Amino acid sequence: MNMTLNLSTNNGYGALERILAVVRYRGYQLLNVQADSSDTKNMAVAMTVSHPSGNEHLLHHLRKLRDVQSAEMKAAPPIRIKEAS
Amino acid sequence: MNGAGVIVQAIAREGVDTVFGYPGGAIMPLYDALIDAPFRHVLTRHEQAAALAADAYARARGDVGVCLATSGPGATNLITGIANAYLDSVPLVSITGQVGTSVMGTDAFQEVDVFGLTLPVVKHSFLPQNGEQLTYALEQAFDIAREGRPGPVVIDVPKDVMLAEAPPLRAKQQPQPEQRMDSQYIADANEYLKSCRRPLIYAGGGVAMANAIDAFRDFVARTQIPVVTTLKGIGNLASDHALCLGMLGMHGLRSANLAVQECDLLIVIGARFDDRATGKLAEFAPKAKVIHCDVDPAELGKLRAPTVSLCGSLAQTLNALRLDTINPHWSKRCLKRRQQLTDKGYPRTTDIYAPRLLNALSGALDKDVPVTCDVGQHQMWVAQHMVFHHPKFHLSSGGLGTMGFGLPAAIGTAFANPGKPVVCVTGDGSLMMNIQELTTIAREKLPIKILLFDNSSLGLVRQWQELFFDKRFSQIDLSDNPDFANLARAFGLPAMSFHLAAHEPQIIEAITQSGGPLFVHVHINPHTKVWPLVPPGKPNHEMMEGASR
Repeated sequence: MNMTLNLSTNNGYGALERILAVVRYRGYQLLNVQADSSDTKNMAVAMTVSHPSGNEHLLHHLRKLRDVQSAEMKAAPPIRIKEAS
Repeated sequence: MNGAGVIVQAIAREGVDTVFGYPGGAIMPLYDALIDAPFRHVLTRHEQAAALAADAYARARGDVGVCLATSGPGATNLITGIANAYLDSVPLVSITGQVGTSVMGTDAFQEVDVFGLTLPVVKHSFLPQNGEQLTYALEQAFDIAREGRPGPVVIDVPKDVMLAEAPPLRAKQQPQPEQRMDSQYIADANEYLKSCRRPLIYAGGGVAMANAIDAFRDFVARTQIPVVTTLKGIGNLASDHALCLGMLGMHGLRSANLAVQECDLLIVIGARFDDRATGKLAEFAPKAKVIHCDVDPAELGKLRAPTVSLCGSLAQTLNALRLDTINPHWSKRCLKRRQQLTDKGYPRTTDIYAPRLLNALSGALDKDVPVTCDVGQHQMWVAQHMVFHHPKFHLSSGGLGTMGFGLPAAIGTAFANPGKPVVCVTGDGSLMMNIQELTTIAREKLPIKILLFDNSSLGLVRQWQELFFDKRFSQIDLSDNPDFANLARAFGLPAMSFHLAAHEPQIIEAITQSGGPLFVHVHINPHTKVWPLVPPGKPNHEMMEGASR
């Protein structure tokens, strides 16, 4: 099941790396990620992840990170993979 | 003041009176500042031992421990200790030296990406690039390590940042008031408590970590609900308390595992459904509704969906839970099973029998003597057969299961309890993983009594190979061990060796009467096993039993 996550975080040293490490370790597949760190203090991260059970445990783990100010998750439509012509 | 001076100030301000570490190139500015520090630095002989000693110091004191190491190999040697603290939720601040900022990222001498390497095993980490960032990191690190679910924090400090000017520490902020528990959830939990017939408490290491021992004991006294504990929860209630059914799980007591399988309400307090505790999760407590109390929201529902989740301060939660009367038949049945186990006694042997010796030793020691242990058969025997009156007296590597924990943990515990004896129970496999620390014990003249159970093999691996791998023994033979007693003497410790069961009283007397360090080498039968044992993939009621008791 695919889920979309929207995070607002401090733009602290290694913040994005920390978030992505949690996604991987907790067994979620990262399908898509966009991060805007043009603001030196804050960063917006949007990502689509996939997990067989589609549970929200990832959200709890991400919210524990010091850099994460807020995190929301919602079901996402399946991503279509373009086939080679 | 330079950055190194501010690091010393920060450690002193937090009330830490002993730090553990090992110097090297990139951390030399800090070691220079340590000469004038108002706290003690203990030089271990390996950085892993520094981290493990600081971990145990934190557990024994109920506050933050600090370890130091230089860049590169110094920092990588710390990692097992940091991971140990992470898995057991121990507040640890690790300060590592890093190469200067001008050469970072160039594969400079002794440069390694400490921030990246430690990322999965820290609660948070910092890599300050200047004095302002260093001061900020120091102001934050200790509170982060302590608050909520405790854990390790790493500050990787480039050498030039230690030498540069850094602003002074600002006054500490008042801690945030605890969030009030949602009263509706408490009301729901109390409804389940009122309607249950066979309630059981499953308590873990989180109780002591949350400083909730008094509230926990009061809750048990008020409700008279029987208690099972995890390895880290041993001592939440004294092991010989009338309502304590013992440790649950893979090597748990029969009385504990059967109670879990039969209960209809499981009140989980500061525990996390670890696989060593639950056995086959799908068949764990199959008849029970679950009230799960924990400070960490990520643990609620992670492995077992609770009927009611109570997230927040454990003391506050426990004070709000109510049970007027308990079904006397249920308690009686649970406690009878526990009593039958106690009455069974130990087998007679001519060899020294470790469970019997540990039980007798426990009876001879003062109640507040801390016991550290390593990992393996002896660790389980300590958990099963010694009596503990508080979790801070039982120091065991639960989550990571780090062989080599016991000796440095004894050092950290000794500094947390100055002048008090500490017993370190170890095995011949584990001891060799940090044996260099015998010299730290001798140098510091610490009153640590090392009780080595030597079966010339990796006993627990041997047991599993015998039971589950068709007796195909692979790499478990340690019969070429050194002469441990002579080795201890070479390190400067008094040492003695024993073989026979008839010597057991002598061993106990030696340990209890010794005023300083002591090394007691005890040969045991390599065929002795840990019982009971829940085989892998089986539910907890399918215990294999042998002649342990």
